Amino acid sequence: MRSFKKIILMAAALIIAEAFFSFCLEPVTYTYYLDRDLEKIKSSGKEPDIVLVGDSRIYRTFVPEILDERLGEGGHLTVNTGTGSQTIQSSYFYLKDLLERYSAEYVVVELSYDCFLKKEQASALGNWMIFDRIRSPENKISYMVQSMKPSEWPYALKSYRYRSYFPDIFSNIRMKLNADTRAGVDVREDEHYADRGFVWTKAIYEDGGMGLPPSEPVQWNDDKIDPTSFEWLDKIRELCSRENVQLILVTGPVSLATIYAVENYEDSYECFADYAEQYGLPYFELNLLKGRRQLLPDSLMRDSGHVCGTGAEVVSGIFCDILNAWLKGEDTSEWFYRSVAEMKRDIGEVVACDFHTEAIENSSDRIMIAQSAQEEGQEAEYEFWICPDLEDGKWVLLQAYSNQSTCLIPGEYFLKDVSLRVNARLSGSEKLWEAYMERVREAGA
Amino acid sequence: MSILSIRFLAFLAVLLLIYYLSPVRWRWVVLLFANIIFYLSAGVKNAGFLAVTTVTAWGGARLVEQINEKYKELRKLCSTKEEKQENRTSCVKQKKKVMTVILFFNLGLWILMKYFLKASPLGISFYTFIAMGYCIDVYRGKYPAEKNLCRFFVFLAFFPQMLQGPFSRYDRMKDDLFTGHPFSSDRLGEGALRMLWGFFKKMVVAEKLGCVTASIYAGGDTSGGIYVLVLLIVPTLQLYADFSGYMDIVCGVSRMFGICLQENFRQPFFARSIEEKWRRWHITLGDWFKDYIFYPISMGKWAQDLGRKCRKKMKPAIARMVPSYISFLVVWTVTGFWHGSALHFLIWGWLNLIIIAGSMQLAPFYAKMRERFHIKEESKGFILFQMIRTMLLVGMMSIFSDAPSASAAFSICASLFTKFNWGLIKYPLLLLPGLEGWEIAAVGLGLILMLIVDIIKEKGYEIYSVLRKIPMPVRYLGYAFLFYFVILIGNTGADLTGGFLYAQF
Repeated sequence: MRSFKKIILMAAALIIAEAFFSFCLEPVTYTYYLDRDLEKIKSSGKEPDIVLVGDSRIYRTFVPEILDERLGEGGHLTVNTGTGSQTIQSSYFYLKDLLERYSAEYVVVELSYDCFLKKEQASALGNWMIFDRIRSPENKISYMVQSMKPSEWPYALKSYRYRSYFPDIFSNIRMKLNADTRAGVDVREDEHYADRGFVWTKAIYEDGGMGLPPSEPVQWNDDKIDPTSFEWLDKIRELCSRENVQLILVTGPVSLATIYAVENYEDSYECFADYAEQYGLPYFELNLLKGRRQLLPDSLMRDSGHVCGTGAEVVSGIFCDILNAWLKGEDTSEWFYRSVAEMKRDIGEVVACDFHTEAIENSSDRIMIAQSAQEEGQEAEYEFWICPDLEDGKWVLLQAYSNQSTCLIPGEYFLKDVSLRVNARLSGSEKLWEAYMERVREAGA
Repeated sequence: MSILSIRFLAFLAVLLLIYYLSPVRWRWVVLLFANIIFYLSAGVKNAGFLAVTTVTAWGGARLVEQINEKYKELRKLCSTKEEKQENRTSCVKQKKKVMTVILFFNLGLWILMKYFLKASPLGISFYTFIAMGYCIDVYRGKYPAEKNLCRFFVFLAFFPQMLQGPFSRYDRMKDDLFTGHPFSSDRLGEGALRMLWGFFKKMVVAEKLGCVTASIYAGGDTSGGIYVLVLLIVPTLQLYADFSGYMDIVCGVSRMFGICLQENFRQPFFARSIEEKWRRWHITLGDWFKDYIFYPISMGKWAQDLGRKCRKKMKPAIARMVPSYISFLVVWTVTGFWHGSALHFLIWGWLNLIIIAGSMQLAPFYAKMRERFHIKEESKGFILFQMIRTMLLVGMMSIFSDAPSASAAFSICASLFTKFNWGLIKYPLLLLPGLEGWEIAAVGLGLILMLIVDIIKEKGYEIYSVLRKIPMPVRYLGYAFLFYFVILIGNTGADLTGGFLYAQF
């Protein structure tokens, strides 16, 4: 009896310590706000009828309010439950839990090409966010056992998961105690939780100035496809069929430069399109929208993989129009290019460019090297500029448009901070469009 | 299998279950298998060396005992005093022969592996010395040799103590090891708590301080000059938290099995002199050198002969000191050598000798000074001064044991006067490179807790009885927070900067 009392007391002490540390360490994530929204919906006696699941391209792209109003005859209630780096497996478990709670009419699942590739290491934090969001203990345990390695299980404790947030402990507490946060209002400026899972972000780029993807995108090929991803997609399909829910597959927009950088992007599109056709599911690849460059210019992107808040409004509107057409039984294929190759041919421009500088041995001069993204077999020409005095802001032409992708910059320019710029267009192009990249290079950097 | 790993904790949990489910008389057999599994997990090659040491030490001690028994029988047949004397001399000679072979073999193996091949098998510096101590004790007739090889292996290779000690003695441990103990939840809880405290000292305090030491020794902007002052304090605190943390873990593990290991630390930072520090720091190593090297040399026949010769040529006061100081020199040279063969380890040993000998010689002068300046030897202020002075001296010497070479140690010390970065004193946080502000706060909290525990122990209280006076819910909440500090703040898994510092010796 004495030992039993000790065990109970120790367990209680551990629970108190866990609650204390997780309160201090866990940052205010979008899950916090979504949970509040879902509680509000529950208390109002309504039920969401459109559920979106998938990775960050879902929660940054689809505005629930627009879908509510513009889909069909309106009057829907949409929840966007995307999380960063959500895998198809995670989507299945989350969707299973959601469909046990809500009798949805439509489920939109995002098919990102990179979610179907084998990963060296899954984003543990993203997976654990799904774990937090799943309500049923049975689903939680089944998700943990099937999706996480035993060595990752300690992450089930929020305090342990967020232990690297110790330096932010006071700002976390301040934010949690903030009246706005407690009222469910995210007051962060550049990026904030907007409503029912949708996250609004500020536009960063001007048209033509987004540049190439900052890191080499993972390439799509048969060896790299994770076969279990399609098994989990099958399970999602079966689940929706069992629950009598219409499953809609969609691929959210990424930057054009990313599509050009992924050599076999066409294959990934065909793979998903074939899957959808095989099971009679609607599939919309929003990257292949006709007039894509004009409809989704760089100024609507947040980064190379996501649209910004305004971009999301545009995409959501288009998506509703497409879905409405599909609901009416119209042929939606006219909205899209038939292939990536066709899209590239139609664009027929340099979609993005970038540059870096390199030192020259035994010289203070540097060389500027430009790169660009355009259709294979086509050549780009480049123009190099320098702004030697940032206060003055006047630009000096270093090298006029030519096929040369390199340009020598005399060392004397680097004695103070300078701004460098590359413009790129297709060789012999008569179009006015230019891609560009501009960066400040600090003296001595 | 690192004792900081989840694997070890799982191993321990399973072992405890099997241990307490087994019949009491067979529990030592569970420990035998535990030792084998634990050591085999470090590789078969390592286990081979341990097996050789076990067999030779056990066999040597048994042989010595057989010689004793044989001569006891012969003694009964001796009729005259001369015959008895001859019998005794012959017995001692034979025993000496056996001992010499066993000791030189094991010592040679240790020197060969550690200093020539530079491939020390796991824990060889510890189990070799424990084995030699056992053989010498049997030779001296302190206790009979263990007849059962497996039982001897359980003692020598007792898994918690194998990697870094303590240097246990067979006579103190055998009852605990072989008697078996009934299950006690109190003992289990106390052992777990001591382990947790050890994990806290190692993973929170020592690991974080290790980042500071590593940053300073790495060179560059965060080294030399004022950073040498940091080296006088931080590495010593780090080593204390590291080594005593390890001891807390292994003592906690042993306590769970009802086995009481000898304590290796007795609040060393309360030492008022270097000599006292060595009576409080790595106590079992100091005792080993005292019992098996210092006393045999300083009280041996040759020391008496040397003393007599010196008295003829020198003043009696100086003549008396010569044999003692020669013994000291041997002990401190061996102590330095035990830590490593490089010159800086030997210098570290000799520095200890110089300070201890210097303090002994200057003791009358110090007494006069205290009298002149009216300083009471037992006043709190003076005691505190002595403690701080001792700590700084230990820190200064630690530069010689921690630096990569003797020349590096000298240049680090010299940089105190050649690198002028004293302006940094205005920015105390910069003096602890490698740590962020919150980590410094965590280490500070850890050091305060360690100080409180040491003060309680220094005052003579038993820590468990002090804790029992705290209301149970508060106490358990404290344990829970300590546990969370370890898993949240402590460096774990891949974050660990390395193993324990003393394991390298």
